[in-house]
Amino acid sequence: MNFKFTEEQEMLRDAFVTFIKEEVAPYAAEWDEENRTPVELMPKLGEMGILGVFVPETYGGVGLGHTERVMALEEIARYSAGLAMMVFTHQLGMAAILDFATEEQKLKYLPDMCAGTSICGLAVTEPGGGSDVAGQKTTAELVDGQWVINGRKCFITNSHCADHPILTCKTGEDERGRATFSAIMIDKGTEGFMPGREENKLGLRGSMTGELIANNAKVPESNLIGEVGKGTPIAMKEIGEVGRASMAAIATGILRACLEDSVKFANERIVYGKPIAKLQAIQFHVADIRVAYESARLMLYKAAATKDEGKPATIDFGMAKYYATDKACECARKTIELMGGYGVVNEYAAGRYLRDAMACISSGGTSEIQKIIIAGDTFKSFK
Amino acid sequence: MRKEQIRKVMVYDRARDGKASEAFHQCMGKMQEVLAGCDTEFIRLVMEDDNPLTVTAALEAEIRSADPDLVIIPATALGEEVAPALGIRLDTGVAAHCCDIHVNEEGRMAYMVPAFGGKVIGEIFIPDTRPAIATVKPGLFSCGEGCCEGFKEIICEPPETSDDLVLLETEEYEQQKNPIDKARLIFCGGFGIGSEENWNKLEQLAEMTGGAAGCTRPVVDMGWGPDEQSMIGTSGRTVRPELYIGFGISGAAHHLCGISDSGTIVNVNNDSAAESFPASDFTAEADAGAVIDSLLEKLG
Amino acid sequence: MNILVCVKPVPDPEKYGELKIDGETKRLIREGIPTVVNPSDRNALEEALRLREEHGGKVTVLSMAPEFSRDKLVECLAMGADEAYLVSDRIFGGADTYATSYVLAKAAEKLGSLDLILMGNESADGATAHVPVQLAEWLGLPHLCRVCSVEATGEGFRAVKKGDEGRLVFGIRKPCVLAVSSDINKPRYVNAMGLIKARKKPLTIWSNEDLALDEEKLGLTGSPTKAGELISPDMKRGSESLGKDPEEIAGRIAELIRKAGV
Repeated sequence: MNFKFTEEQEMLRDAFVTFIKEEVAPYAAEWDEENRTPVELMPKLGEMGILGVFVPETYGGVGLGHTERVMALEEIARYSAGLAMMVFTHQLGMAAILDFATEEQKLKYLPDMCAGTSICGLAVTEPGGGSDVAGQKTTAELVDGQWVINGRKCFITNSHCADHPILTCKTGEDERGRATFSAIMIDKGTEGFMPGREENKLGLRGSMTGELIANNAKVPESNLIGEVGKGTPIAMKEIGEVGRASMAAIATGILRACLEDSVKFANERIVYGKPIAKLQAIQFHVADIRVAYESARLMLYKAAATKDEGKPATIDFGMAKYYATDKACECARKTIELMGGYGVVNEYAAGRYLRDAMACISSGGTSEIQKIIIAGDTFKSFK
Repeated sequence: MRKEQIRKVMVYDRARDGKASEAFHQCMGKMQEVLAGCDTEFIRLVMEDDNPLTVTAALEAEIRSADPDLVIIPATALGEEVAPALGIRLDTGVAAHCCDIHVNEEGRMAYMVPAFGGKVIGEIFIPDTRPAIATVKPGLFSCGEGCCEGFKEIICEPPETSDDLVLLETEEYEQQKNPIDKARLIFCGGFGIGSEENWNKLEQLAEMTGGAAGCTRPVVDMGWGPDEQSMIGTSGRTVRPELYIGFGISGAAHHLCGISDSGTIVNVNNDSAAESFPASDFTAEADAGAVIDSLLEKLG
Repeated sequence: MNILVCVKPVPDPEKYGELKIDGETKRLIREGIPTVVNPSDRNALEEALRLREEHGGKVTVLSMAPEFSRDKLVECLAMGADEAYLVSDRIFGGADTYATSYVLAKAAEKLGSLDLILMGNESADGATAHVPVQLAEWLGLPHLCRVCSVEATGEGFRAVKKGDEGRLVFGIRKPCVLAVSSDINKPRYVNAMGLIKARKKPLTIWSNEDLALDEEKLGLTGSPTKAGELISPDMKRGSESLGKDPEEIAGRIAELIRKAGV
């Protein structure tokens, strides 16, 4: 067991942090307040090697792994969980292409996506089904060499900025009459395809979440990603391993923000003649936040290491996501309370941490869904 | 080097059109004060040129011929280049940007040199080599014209011309209306003033009162108006106004060093933990912009 | 164009406010303060990379530092330098600028013919601004400091220095040493691709065995300036509060202005 990052990983983290402190940290509050998504940062993130850090060099990536990928997300989320959402959703689509697309498709899409000059996304959720995958109603029919798509997706991150979102659509039925789905890429600007409403979210502002509407939208047959009828396994794999990993990383970043801000405030706030850091009640809060952060971190990087070794990590990521997001909400609340009156003043970031943490829970499977999956695995592996 | 061993001190003056520079008076005055009572010969060394290689060569020749024990050079942009070059040519030590020179309890010459942005001051000795060379930050010692006399003058011979380094053109800086290093009242803006608008208001306040407007490096970098001429700190100007009023100044060590000789220091900042506060006579925990606006009203 | 950039690892200048002097040993307590590449040395490296992009050639980085600072040189390689040399030996320790520039000069001599040596104008910690000039003198090269702009010309460079009264435009012959100020450019970020490429770039460590320098000229022994005590200047003042109301505060400041009779 080796619980240390390599020297190169530490240098990579330092390089990312330098960029983030300069290009992200000073603007995070503004993005949240104005509900603005800094799409213009994507090419710069591409230049830093953050977007394609896990993609092989052949496709324009850096050739490192998911440990480095979630490390970057943790650092971005420490300052802007919203921006981290846009980045991870983009990587979610890229992962689907990397794992299931043809060589031709990979070479066509991945280099620009690694560079941040083209944005991706993965759209599954609908008014009728999110956790209930079988409840999806969007259809895609193959007619004269084209997919004709009809339907509506909701709560989709990168809805209004994705150039090549990948949607899961019903393309048939299995022998028992159950719907089967395929993953199909619909290019932005395709006639009949457009983003719909944009949500005004409680948290994770700095990323856009909205509807995607397809009304007889037609795309070439070659826009299919992976095999026909394999849409659900594709979506489940990527959401399971990349989506949940990212949410765990984002929540871990929020936890660190809570920790650092609590410590700073406790050291500076003088009450009864000394800093509140000297009061046991405050010390207990800080200790709890610390333990939550260290635990979330351990779970996150263990899962990432497992995936980088080529082993399945869905359950590990599920546990990490459930734990980290739950604790992020708890600790953000502690941070606000620790800061007293200042905690409820919007000039301080603590309120944003709580809102961002709450918004994390429903992305990539709610905590309840995670618990069902975890229980299922537990009953199998601990008997 | 002990005080009694210093028989000859040379102080460099770049001068301009024959007129001695203030930095020269400050250095000469200080050395005469430090070595008062000793039978020391003081020499003003003049070389009016901006080419560091030319000045170095000229000074080297005079120093070799006069054999002084100590050479003081104002730490101007020119002096900063000349002094270390002489250090190598004469195989001797150079104390950089001294903020003080004195004789210590053991009778040795001690050169006080700031480090780590001014957070720490180190005592430097140059025990074995001659001449000892020290550069002194202009504005640190006070001595006006006429407060020091009793020195000889040597106008340096221009050395052989070399085309290794040739001055092609000079572009003078815009003259400051009220140069900050002489101002008796300074309004200083830090990163906390937040905008070009507020910088302009500080300049207004300066104009209304006959004071000067200064700033820290972040204000220059943000492009809110001032250039480095107005920057106060160890890498900028050292100032000693009677009244210094800071707005949105966090209090980095190098800035605090640049104002430490001010008469009265006031700081306005909405962050009560700002390091500038413990180093102030008066503090105000408030929004810099709001106080600036109110002040404009009251003085208008 | 063959360019050498000398860099110095220094304690992070952002943390100088936290530095303390140990009451007993009178030494500086540096623990917990991370080391970074001296900020204006990064400007020097950036300028070197730009010149290489324009004129072709090679950028080499050189540093005299303890061996644990090796990762700072990897950072420079990741930023884009082609090769790095770390000169490290216990015997170099305690060197002042005279002895430091001597070692750097001797190392530079081993690197073959150079067109230009670039460095930051001063280091954030010592801030003497001596080493670029002294390095040039040991090598018998012309030098220029506080340089805010560099352009290659036929015989050398056209360099602009920020002088005392104005900007001075100089023509300087190559090879030469130019010490750059921090406003000359904005250094590029180290990115992931750079770190991957850096793995394969040569990083050589030299000790005094490789340089074979006379021990009398090294370290503390070879330094004509000697360090004495360290003092923390006491800048504490009364800190009397003027209140929190902007109107009230402005009133009291206006009073102070009147009293100062300026």
